[in-house]
Amino acid sequence: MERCISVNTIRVLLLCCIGIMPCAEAFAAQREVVLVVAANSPLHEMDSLEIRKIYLGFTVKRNGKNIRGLLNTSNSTLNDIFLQSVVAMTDKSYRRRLLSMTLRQGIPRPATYDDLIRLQDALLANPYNVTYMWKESADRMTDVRILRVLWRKN
Amino acid sequence: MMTYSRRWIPYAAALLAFFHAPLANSGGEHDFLLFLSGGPTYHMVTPYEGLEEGDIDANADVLYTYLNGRFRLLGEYNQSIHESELERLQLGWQGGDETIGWIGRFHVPSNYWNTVYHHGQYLQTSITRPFINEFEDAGGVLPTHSTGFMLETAYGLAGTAGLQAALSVGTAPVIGRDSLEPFDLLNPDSSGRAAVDMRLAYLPDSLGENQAGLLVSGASLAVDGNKLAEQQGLQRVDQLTLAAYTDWRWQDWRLLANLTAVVNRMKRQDQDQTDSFFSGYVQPEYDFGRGWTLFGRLEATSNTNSSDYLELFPDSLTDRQMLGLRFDFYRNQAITIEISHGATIADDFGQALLQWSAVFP
Repeated sequence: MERCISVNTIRVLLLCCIGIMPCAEAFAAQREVVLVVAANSPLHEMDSLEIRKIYLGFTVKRNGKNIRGLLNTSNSTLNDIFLQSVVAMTDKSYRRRLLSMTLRQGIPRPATYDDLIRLQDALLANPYNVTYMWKESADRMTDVRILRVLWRKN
Repeated sequence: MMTYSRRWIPYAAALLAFFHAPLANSGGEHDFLLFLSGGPTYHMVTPYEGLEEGDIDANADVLYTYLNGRFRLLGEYNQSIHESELERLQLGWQGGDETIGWIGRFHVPSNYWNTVYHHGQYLQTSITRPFINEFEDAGGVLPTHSTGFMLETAYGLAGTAGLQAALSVGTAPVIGRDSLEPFDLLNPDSSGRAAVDMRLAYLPDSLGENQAGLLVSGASLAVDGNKLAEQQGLQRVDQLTLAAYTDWRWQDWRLLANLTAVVNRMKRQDQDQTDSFFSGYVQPEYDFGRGWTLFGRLEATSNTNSSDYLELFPDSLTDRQMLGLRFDFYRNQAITIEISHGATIADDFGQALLQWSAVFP
């Protein structure tokens, strides 16, 4: 009897593994960081240089309005990927660079959000705000629109 | 002047508090930084050499910025054991994406070190500043503050390269009792003649920090209370400064270097005299990773024994050989140690400094 349970347990575990593995693989393969705006935002395209400029405190405008970048620190992996692939800096270098811009030019540092709900609220509050997040987070949110893919796991 | 300025601190704080709420709710963006630093200094001197053997410094620098559309406000107040001063108060108007005009009190653009670090001690790797970049009240012999108008602009070149230019016209410091004394916005008795400053920089990546450039400054420094200058019959000094600098990073290395030529036309009661000197420094830095940075600085000044102008600043360290180590830890905090051998016009001695620095939030 004990042997039967044991064999059955192993079978169940194996089946679960077989079932889970492709899902995890598919999830990992689809892992993407995306740039998002409010659904009603007039922003439609933005190149990599413009995104880098926004997050380094330089002026980027559309329709005469300044575009503001919001920092998403809800997930450290996400933030590291964004900083390395888009801003081309480590977290430490980036923090120093922002401090320096504030000290030199009087440019306030981008607002930082470690909570996705508050980030979404801030994004919706201004159609010229942009931020980044995992694609699956963006897919779950209503009222936000993906502007472009910033990073994709190979 | 220091005592006079201190009376204004509560007024400045009240003014900031008064404007903070409406500014924060007006749809603009604002930011606040508090730089803190402090630590002991040990001078390897005998009691006869005129310097205290030990000294303690503690410093707080408060920065407030506000941005709304094209309008920008920046204020910086510094309070330490040795001074209390409204360092910067600038109102800016952004004329274009890369152009901004400022009025108010600012750090002159012809002093690169100060335009990078201002009073944000945590951001500069070393504890000490090079002689040629010292603030007026810390033994500096060149103007570092001015009150007037400043224009900053940038031009894109081929690829990602760019040029940055800054020009300012404003007041020059006076040669006070112990040091240069810049125009003080909070002191109505403050005075100063004219100064013009300029910086032109080339950046291989206009979004990066690597740069090399030229600095030019012209200032008319009136004598106001300096006994030695008055004994010499000195009425004012017309000062021309030309400099070349670089601030470059290669992977884990960084190099800061500057060569400055200063020509002083000493206007005396009886006759004019021209006096000149060169000053230069090289500061390499190496980032070991895990927060550790090794750095050093070699600086030297020519004609220190023959310059009548430098004679007015007998306590300024004109030459230095320095080695230091910095450890960055937690979030935006650092411990730094510096050991150096320096020389004033009359003396030379060893120096050891230890400092904790941080920025909040």
